[in-house]
Amino acid sequence: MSINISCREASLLVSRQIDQPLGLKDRLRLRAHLLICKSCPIMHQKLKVIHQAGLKYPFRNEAGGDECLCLSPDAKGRIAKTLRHAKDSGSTGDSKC
Amino acid sequence: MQNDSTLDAPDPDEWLEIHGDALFRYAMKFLRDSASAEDVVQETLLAALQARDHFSGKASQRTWMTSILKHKIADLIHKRCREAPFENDAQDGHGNSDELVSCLFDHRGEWIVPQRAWGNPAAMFEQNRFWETFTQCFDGLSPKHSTAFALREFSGLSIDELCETLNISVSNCSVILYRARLALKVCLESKWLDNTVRRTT
Repeated sequence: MSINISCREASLLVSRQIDQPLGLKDRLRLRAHLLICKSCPIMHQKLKVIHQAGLKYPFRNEAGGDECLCLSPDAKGRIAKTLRHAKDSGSTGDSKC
Repeated sequence: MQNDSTLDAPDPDEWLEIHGDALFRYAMKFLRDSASAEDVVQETLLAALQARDHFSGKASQRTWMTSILKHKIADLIHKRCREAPFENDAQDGHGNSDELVSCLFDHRGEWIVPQRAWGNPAAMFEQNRFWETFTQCFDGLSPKHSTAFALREFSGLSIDELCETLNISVSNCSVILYRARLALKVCLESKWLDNTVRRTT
């Protein structure tokens, strides 16, 4: 088996390595490729940045202007009713100590 | 932080007011459908109400509820995937089914366009524009790719947990994540980073 892999194969290995350790053969192939290729070390960085961005993703209200990605008043009403009902029928202790 | 004292005397209306919209937005990133997102938010708040005695107070109330929500979302996706399994992505990078990957590499598997560096990630993450673009690009992924990416990266599932949730093999899972990441890379470059590079050169 050849140690030479293409950039396409290297990119799949880089992505896999983000999720799990590679086997020895793949690890060596990837390392060798990253040493001789100009583009793939950059791709390696980029995929790591995307992974980091996913971990740090801020769940803001990104809908601009007057829009709000929010629960609709209907849904709020429905959920509130269910919760109140569950609280009232729940037997786990009185909240007023 | 938010008034954690409400845990002693939980007022469901107040919980809903404080956390409802944030939990809903979180769920929407995974489910993309407001009816399902509303359902999991309701289940989460119900579970929180029932389990409030177990809340240690070490994490914030929001963090605690979000961790309940993550489980509810994964359960729902797992159930869906059992009913309607994910299609199999090609088993390796050679499949001809994936247009995006084929556009990036020539017939020998070399990059068609040489890669150019993006600059400092820490500085990128400080910019609102980056996150707006990232959101647009994430929202543009196919449902399969966005679900896998969200569970793996936003929720932090391990690859094994992810494959189990999606009910698919590890190799298929890896290919789906690979394509999701490449699609995000291409999208970020075309929508934001390239402009920034051009503007500054």
